[in-house]
Amino acid sequence: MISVFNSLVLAFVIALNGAPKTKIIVADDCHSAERFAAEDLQHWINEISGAKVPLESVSGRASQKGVIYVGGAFAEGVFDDDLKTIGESDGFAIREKDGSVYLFGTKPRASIYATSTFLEENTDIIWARPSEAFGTVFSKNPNLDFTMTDRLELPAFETHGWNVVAIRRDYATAKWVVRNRGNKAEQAEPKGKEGTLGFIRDMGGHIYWWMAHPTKYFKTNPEFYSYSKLKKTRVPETLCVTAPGLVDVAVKNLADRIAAGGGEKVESLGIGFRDSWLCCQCDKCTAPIPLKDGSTLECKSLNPEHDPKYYSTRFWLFISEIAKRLKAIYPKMTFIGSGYMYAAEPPACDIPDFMYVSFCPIGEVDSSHPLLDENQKPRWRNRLLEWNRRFPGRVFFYEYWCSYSAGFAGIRGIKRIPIIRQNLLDLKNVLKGIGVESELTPDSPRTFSNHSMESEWDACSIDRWILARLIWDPAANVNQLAKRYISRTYREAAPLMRKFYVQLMKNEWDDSVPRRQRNVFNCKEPEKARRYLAEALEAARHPNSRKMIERLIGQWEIAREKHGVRTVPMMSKEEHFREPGATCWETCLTLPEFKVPGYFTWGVAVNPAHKTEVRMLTDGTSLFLRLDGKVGKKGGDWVYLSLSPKEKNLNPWRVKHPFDGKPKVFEIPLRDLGVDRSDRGTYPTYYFLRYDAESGEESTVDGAKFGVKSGTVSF
Amino acid sequence: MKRIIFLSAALAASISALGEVFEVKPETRYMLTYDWSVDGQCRDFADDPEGRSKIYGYRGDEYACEMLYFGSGRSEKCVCRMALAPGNSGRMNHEFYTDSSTVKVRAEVKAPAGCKVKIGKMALSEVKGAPTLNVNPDFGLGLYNFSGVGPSNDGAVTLLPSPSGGVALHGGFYIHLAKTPVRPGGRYNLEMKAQGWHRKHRMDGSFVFLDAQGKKVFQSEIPRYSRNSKKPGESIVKNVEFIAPDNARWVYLWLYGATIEYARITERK
Repeated sequence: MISVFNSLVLAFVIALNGAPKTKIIVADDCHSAERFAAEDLQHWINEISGAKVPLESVSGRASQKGVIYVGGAFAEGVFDDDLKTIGESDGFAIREKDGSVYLFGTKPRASIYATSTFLEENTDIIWARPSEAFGTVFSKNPNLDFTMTDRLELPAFETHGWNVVAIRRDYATAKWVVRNRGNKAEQAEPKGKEGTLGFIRDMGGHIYWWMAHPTKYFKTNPEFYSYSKLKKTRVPETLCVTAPGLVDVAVKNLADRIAAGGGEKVESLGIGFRDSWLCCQCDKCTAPIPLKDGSTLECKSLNPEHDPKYYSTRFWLFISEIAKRLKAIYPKMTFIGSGYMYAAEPPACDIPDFMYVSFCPIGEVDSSHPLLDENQKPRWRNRLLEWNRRFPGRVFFYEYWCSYSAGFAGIRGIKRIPIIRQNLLDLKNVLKGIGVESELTPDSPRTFSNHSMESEWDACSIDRWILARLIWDPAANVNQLAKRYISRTYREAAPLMRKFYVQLMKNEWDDSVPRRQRNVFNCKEPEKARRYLAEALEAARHPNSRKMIERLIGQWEIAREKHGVRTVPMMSKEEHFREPGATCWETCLTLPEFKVPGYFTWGVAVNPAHKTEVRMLTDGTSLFLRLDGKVGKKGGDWVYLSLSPKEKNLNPWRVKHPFDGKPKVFEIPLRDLGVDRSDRGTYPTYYFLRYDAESGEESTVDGAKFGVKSGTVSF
Repeated sequence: MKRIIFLSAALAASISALGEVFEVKPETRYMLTYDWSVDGQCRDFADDPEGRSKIYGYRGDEYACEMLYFGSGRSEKCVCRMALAPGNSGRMNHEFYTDSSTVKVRAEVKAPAGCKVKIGKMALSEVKGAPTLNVNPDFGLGLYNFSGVGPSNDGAVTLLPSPSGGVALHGGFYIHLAKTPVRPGGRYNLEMKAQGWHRKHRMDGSFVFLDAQGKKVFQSEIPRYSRNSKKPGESIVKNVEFIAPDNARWVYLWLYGATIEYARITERK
């Protein structure tokens, strides 16, 4: 239904006063991804307007007016030019004809790109992060008129997706990926529902054990496994890539696995060695390799790190043979060899014409420069240039942009985005590469590497969203993308969140802070960005916006603590520090809650029967420490407070003090602690313990083990 | 057992030492006992909970500390260092095994400057008829006695009141329990009540077998202790039977992230 809107713009009416004014139509034999596209469109229209637009399945061609057709089948014979333009790509089109809207592509998943774009361009919706509880932000609007009904987009690359690592099968993340135009979300769809969203079906990775698992072959064929010159024996740590008969076994096992994984439906196989630098050291695997030009490649070291060219050549010779034989069985399959560790070095041998390299720029890459930039480490730049020179058009990027970090999620902002964008532009324009895949943590509360995976999203959703758009189109304007993300996600708080992200980009550091140690907390004005966050939280109105800012603040505090930064605020000497009830204590450093260490609760610290709280302030001369908490009826509680100077010649400040639950302030001269506020190396560590006579519990800051310093305070 | 009186005072300006030398039998279980009292500027664990995890290991520059040496002359080696318990006085009961070649033991108490220590009634007696092969299996010698505990790798090792009313040991990242004599081919049982601090709520460990020279001859894993999610606050009790391999003369437990309420090694008949 087309109506006149604002007298000039023709609009497609979706809903009026919360009532549906159109319907969505899919082909009754459509792919599950096209059905998902239609249902997703129906779902979000309902969420936004309250109108439950009917969804119908029909057979045959488009014949109705005023409806939304979802899926490629309806475009045939109607938009043949578009279908031809899209070809085999993931491109999609949004078109309007005879009063109906057509959302389609030639690939089923493209219909999801089309419906998502249709919603994004006609409402203020944004899938800011995968969380189904609060990750999507939009305005309610019972009257939906869609004016953008004409678009065709083509992706820059064949592959533009993610490897959803750490926690598998997170469907919310898979849906976020496809709504934001990704065509790969490895192992993110639920078991048994693989293929629902139409992602590229691929297999592989570190698959040496798929080829010949030691539990099956080590006893019967120890020669398949690596020889260690140190141990003087074969060990099942990696494969002996020159072992007679190994290729036959590997091809059979891989073919069986592919058949079990879908056979012809499997589109791509990644072939990589085990995630290790170990290589076989047998005489054959370290023998000179004859090359096509008549020369030989000598093995210069038993350590692949010292001679990557040789070991890369060995690896590529081995997998090339396997790929050739598998190609005969699965001619349509794409084969991608791992350009990882030593195999990132281009081999001295040829590789089959149909093979691609999954180039993994990891390890001593200078992330402050694009890979092809003249300032990049020559090793990486030269490798990439050589791959391109010798195997043009066969580079595929495997990246780690959104992988998990060690221990906690860092606060990054979007400073690195322009560099990544340049890499993508180079991949498209210079390397003519086929695509990119990056590791991505799911938005899951489950824990991996000591922290929940959703905390990575709490800290850095914005760069994930922008990167999703850039791997679709690296030429997109980063500023415009950032602006869209911030304005749609944070709405009323957008101006302050923009200042926050700008501040992160403007952060400066003393030259004395090594580049690799720089973070948002040891920059010159660490609190400036934090203040913008606090103000943004005040300004935010939409509950999901608030939630995302709250969680970003939470992650900020966690990251700050993990960086060992607990900064004691400095206040004017005129403040009434010695009075526990003074207002200055409302803006102080509050240490994490006291908890009972998890000695008898499997390492999980538990809340004590009675709380204890320590706050800190400084006037520049003394450290003021305010103790507060609750006590039971039985007397005899005490606290032990200890601050240890960094300078070994100074005695720690220690006090064991009866505790009656009344707030108390201690004053410790900074000179007694050896603190020079301008020198981070002088900041003291603390150890506080509370004994609760009634419960018999002993609690420490955040449940730290007894005798272990809880942390460092800075000034 | 013949006792040789040994007395040394004011060995250095900052540290004084008192002690005795005892003749002993190899591979024998002994209890060293003595009365002690301290005066002056000694640190006291009662007022210093931070120091509790330091009770094991030499802290002679801070606390009055017992040192135990095996052998004599140039071959003498320090095998144990234990800070004295809190309060101003007490009686120490330190239980240990002598090594396969030990015939002489020297016990000594050292104290930092400004701290005066008095030692009395020091005696070493053979322990017979103990219910377990290993020393101090239930940590029943008290909250400040690390008898039966071997090396560890961090400062978080501590003895704690256990929920069942006794004493438990938290071993930090890893800890060895003191070695226990075994016979090659002998059948033994480890009964251990423990739990883990590992982030995946588990505790792992191994039996490590040594020969008479103290060289490792074999190591085998103890079945993993995993938290029962329905009883997240409870330790697990397991009985593990093991056979000492050829050449094994000693066994010790190597435990990761463990809180142990008891670890009892007994010989199976």
